[in-house]
Amino acid sequence: MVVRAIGALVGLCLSVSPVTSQQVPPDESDAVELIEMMLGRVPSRYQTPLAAMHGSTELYTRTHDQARAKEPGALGVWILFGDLALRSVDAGLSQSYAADMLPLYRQQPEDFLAVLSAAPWLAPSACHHLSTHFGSEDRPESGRLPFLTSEKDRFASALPTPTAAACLNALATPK
Amino acid sequence: MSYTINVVRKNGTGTLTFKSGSVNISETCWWDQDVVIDAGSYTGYATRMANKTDGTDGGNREAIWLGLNVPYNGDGNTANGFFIHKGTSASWSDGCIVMPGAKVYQMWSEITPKESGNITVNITDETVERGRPQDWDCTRQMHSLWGGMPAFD
Repeated sequence: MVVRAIGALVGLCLSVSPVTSQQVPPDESDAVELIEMMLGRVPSRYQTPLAAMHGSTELYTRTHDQARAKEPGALGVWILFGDLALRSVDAGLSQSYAADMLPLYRQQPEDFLAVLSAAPWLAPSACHHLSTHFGSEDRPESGRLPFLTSEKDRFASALPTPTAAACLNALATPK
Repeated sequence: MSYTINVVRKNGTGTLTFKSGSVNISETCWWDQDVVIDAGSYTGYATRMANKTDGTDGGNREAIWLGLNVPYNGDGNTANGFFIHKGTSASWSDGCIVMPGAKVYQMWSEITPKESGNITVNITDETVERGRPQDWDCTRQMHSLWGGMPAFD
């Protein structure tokens, strides 16, 4: 019953949202799964906690693939999932974001920053994941400074001033 | 078949031990010092991390999942994504327990069936006693407040 209500709510929100070529709604069942995870529930589409763990990694892979393929709206959903991973201290997913977020930023920096500009509250987690790319899983720290040097002007021009400053500070600070 | 993994933590590193059949592992392990799983006993599942493609056998990364609602940092918070998996230092961890990949693979391969809560993971902290008892002043039959023997008059 509750799941139906959430699904209906998501459907209602999506149906009244202005849909442009850049804002295609996420898959409804994926959206429900994200909401249930935000609420600390085991997503109802899975029968067991183990299945839910595997489901969350499949959701990660699916949304990451969609973002890499530049499916409209997918990048924002993937970044939102990264925010959830960090806030919920999901260690496995956070490690994946540390590995994968910076390459995706490099692939489509303008789109990436457009997501953060539209939803600045996502910037702290996104910039955390960008920063932890350097130095984690034996990746070299040496790439941090060149990345900052090459990207700081782009961040400054694309993001609100305090958001850009906080993001650049996070990027300058090794964990 | 059930299995037991023991992790004893001390001074920032730990020792993971696992015995089954001919496999006898005692290996140094690490974790993120900012996200520390509470000492306790957890049900583990031998599985793979589907979004990590660097498994020792060429598949996805081999791991032991510690289940839902694992407490960390001793403050009542819980999380769902803690694993034991490969790594060469704490930089491989956002809260997971990591140890060299060959040892993880050896342990993981021994555990059957996979995807089953057939592992008990015991995490304990070994406390370190620091300092020494105060000196006994045999002339005054009391503990010296100064940490050393008083001068004889």
